[in-house]
Amino acid sequence: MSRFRNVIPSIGLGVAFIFGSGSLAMADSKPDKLVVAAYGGVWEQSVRETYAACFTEKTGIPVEIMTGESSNWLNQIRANPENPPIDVLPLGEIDALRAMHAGLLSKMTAAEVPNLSDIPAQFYEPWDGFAVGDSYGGLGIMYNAEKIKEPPTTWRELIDGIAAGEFGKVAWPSGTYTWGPALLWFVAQQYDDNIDTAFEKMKAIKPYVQKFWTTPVEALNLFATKEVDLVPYWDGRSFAFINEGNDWVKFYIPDPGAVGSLTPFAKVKGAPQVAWEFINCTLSPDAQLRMSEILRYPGSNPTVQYPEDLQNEFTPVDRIAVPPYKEILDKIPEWVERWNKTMR
Amino acid sequence: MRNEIDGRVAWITIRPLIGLFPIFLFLGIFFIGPLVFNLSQSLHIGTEAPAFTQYIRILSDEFYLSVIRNTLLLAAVVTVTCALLGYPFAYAIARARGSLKSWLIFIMLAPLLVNVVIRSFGWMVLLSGNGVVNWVLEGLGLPPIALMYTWTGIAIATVHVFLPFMVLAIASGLETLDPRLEEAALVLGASRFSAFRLVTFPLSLEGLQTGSILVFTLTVGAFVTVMILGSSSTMVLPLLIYQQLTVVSDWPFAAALGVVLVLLITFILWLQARLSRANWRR
Repeated sequence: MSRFRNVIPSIGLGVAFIFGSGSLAMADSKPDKLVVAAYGGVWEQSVRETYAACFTEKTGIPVEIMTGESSNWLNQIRANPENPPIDVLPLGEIDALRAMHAGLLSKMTAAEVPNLSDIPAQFYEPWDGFAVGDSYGGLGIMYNAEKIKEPPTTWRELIDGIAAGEFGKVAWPSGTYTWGPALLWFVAQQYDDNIDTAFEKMKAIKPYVQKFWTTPVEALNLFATKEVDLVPYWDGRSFAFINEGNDWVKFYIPDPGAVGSLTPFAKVKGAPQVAWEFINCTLSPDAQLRMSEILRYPGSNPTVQYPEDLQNEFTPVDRIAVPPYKEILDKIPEWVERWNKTMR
Repeated sequence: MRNEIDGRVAWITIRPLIGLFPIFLFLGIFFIGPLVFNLSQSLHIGTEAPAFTQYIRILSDEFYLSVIRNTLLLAAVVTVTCALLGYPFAYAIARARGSLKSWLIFIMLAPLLVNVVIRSFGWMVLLSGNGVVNWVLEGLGLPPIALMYTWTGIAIATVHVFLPFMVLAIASGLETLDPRLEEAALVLGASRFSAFRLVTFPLSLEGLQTGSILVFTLTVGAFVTVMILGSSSTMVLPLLIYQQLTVVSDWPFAAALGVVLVLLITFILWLQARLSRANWRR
């Protein structure tokens, strides 16, 4: 009996130790890694060297980067909401709205993301604070300056000129491209906000469109091989191509401005609290400056000081037209179906 | 006593299948399971009252029927082309010996070492307006031809992607044939062509059939090549499914299109099996 009298307190101490240490672990739980999604290629490089580095420096937690596309990530977190495989992701604007409506994202506050207080509202209001854009790009016109001496000054003149065959063959974003519906909306704005006219114009330019492209790689291939002399293209990607020594290429934004694209970063519901630190890093001036140097896109934090050569490549934020995504979200299925049927 | 015998017969019947249980479990979870999930999504089961609205939408709209038609037509053209091009190559592989055989197999399999996306971009370089094909034509004084963003260009690239599957299936069948059968026909006075037509070709039909099924089903499900080399005028069912999932995020409609695709393939395979059985009976 005396043997058991010694054993029982030992067992009790052991149980207390196990549960006690478990409680301590839960109160101060730190994930062994943070899973962050990023688009491939130079986008992955920029996230790794800027935001991921910032986060690991501050928290000591390594970042695992998962490359892919917005729609894939949305489907992954939608398929596994209780145990999402991704903690932070840069969804497309429309997919961010879909994720928000499905209750898959966490809403941020300035308390959790201190750098948010520096960010203009236009970068997080479209998603009611469930996502925030770290940068923005503008869709302008990249053209062969050896063939096209005086490009049209407005989008309306450009579209009507393409339909008249004034620029030979061009490449134009497909209505089924990720930002295709946004561009359809933008074209409609050039014609009194009339979506029917926008579709008529797309039909009118079709004979002169070499390809309605669905990926930027296709567009660049067509332009770089001189299959086409003009292509609507993103400012950052255009200047990256020009800066490779392609002096025959120029880029500009026709009036009234550029279709804007933001990269809204969001924390997935169920991800660890420390993920807010990653979001905070995406809005920090130092990280955004380094990101801009890699991607040639401006950050959303207006306190960032850019060198002059970089600043000259940026589209001013007041020339960016951000589509009303909440209004066009429900129209996308109809517009895509109409595009498929009209443009075949 | 009778029950005991019945039990033994049942056990003898079931016993060989026990070893297949792991594969049945695997198929049940990773094949049947997703199909059932797809079907339930397409019928709106779980979210609202089951409805066939998605299927009515597909079958009553001329655009979607044309997409189905184009998908099957592309698969048929690619299959026939692979058979016509692949049979001679397969015959050469089957009849070759030594290092020549190895080289022929390597030449046929080498494209499979390259990702299909890379190969499709390679075909862009070859078939584009300023590409190699038109460069050669212009050098010969011939007018250029438009192959990119057309069904012709898509078919050419798709044949290149799936030809190895046809060749290997036919070659496997030909290699099992005893060459003495062909020799016997020649000795008995048949010409080479007659010996091939009456002896070799009929005996190789099983391999040709296998290759055709493989190429047809692969082509019906292919979309990367169509996406890269096609245009807004060249829509196929798998590409439409991809678009509905990624751009529109309409899971029920995409699921219904997926079910239609599976049913089409199943129907074609059933038809092919019926025709094969009819041929064997003859």
